[in-house]
Amino acid sequence: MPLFKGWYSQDGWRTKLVLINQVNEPVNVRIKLFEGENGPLLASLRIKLKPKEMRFYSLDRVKRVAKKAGVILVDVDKPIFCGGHLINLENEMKVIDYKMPKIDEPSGCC
Amino acid sequence: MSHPAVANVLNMSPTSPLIKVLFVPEREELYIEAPDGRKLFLSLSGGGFTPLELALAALGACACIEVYKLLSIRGGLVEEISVDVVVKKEREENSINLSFHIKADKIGRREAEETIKRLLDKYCSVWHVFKQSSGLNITVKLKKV
Repeated sequence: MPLFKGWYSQDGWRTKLVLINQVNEPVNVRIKLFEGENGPLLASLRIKLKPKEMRFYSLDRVKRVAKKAGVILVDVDKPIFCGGHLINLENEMKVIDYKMPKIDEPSGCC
Repeated sequence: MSHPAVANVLNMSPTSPLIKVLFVPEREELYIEAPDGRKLFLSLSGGGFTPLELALAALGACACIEVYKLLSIRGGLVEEISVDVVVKKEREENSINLSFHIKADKIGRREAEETIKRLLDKYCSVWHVFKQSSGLNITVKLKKV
């Protein structure tokens, strides 16, 4: 099942995740937020999306990632669209919108 | 992200495995050979592994490698994985229990359990062979590093 990788920043930026359920069933989403590229795991969240639900999840709600930036991993059990929306706090005209790429699951060992 | 030792194991695996087995009843010995010349010798009388134990070892080995890959790709820092493979016979039906013990950081027990239960079935090729004839059950124990 899809695993997405992206980048968040709450350090001078505000990050919102864009999660769109593409199927007509509920989807379980697990979000892991790391500090930097290889740093410790700061927070792990679980969200359940209703069928066809579109949700904007602001990382302002996650106190543990305040003033931090790093890798974000999104693990889902059904296909969804997963993106990031970053707004610069000093200049709100500076905005980054991106679609998180899927990470390929490893192939079998034998 | 893959551990060098795991990478070696993966590179060794042929895409279409073919194994020849020779049994010498007189000496109770088994000679097993892969097409590229790798050999394994088993002595049934000499306290070696039985064929069933070897099959279970193969299932456990494949499951450990797959679990390592599945957890690593999710950001987990896995130091060690062990699995107890137990066959249970109930009313002429076999079931196999896999009990994982994982030493890892950056991953929670619940996440590890969910990931393994959800995805091991999809990626472990030895599992598929067993699944045809047995019920397979999984438990996970995670120890933080």
